[in-house]
Amino acid sequence: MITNYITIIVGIIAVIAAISTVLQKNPVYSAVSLIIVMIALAINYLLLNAEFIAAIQLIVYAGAIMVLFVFVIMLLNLGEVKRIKIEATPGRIAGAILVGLFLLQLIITGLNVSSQVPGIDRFVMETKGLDSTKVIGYALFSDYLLPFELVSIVLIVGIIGAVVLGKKRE
Amino acid sequence: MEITINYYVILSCLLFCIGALGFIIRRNLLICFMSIELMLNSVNLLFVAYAHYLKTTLGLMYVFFIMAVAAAEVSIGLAIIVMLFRFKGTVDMDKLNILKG
Repeated sequence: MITNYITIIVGIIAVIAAISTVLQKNPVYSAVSLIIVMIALAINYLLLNAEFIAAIQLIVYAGAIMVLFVFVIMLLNLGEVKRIKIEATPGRIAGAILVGLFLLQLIITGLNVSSQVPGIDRFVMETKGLDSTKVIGYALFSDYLLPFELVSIVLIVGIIGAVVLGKKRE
Repeated sequence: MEITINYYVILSCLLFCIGALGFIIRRNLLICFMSIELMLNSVNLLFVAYAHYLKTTLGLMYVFFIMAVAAAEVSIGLAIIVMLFRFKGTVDMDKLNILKG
């Protein structure tokens, strides 16, 4: 099955690009790595039969949000940091250890949860009759009408907040 | 060879923890913000994977709303970063201690 290999390769690319995001010296390279992560995840969504979410991922995340990031990096004119100073302060060591433990705990809990759902580990590719875009459209304007309107209010507050915060004050 | 849900659980956990680690070890405010986006994306991946394997579209709805809120969050957050840079002239998190009591 070629889709299985694509899934695994895309997953590996996503992890490598994520590590690159965290460790790059130049913020622009970080942003480009994050765009690679998002494109890889969009391919994963396509393979999971979520075409609408894949398109939204590309448009909103890789298109709008990352362009905003790159724009702000350009605006602030941030140079490259000389070296990534990772001083081993006690707080940072404790944080790294905690993140490692957290990863372990997350994986154990996740595998435990997924093993308790019957029949979930079978990979079923056929989802005929389940057109996810159509189903999402129907659900958005019937059952989820109130959350949909609330999200539009959140977006308006975001726009107004950005304008107010970005305004030059004397 | 077939891909099970466990593959997506592990991939999502890895991405989330890379994001959390980046938030802890980096001092650049913009890169910390990108790490937050990475964590949000990993959660979205888990939602979509479970929606596929459980044959429901509820997870896709959550992803839709998470993306909308993330877009609003990014616009506000970047505006705050620009304002801080104008005010303090740096985006180093160690130097931004005006709220320190």
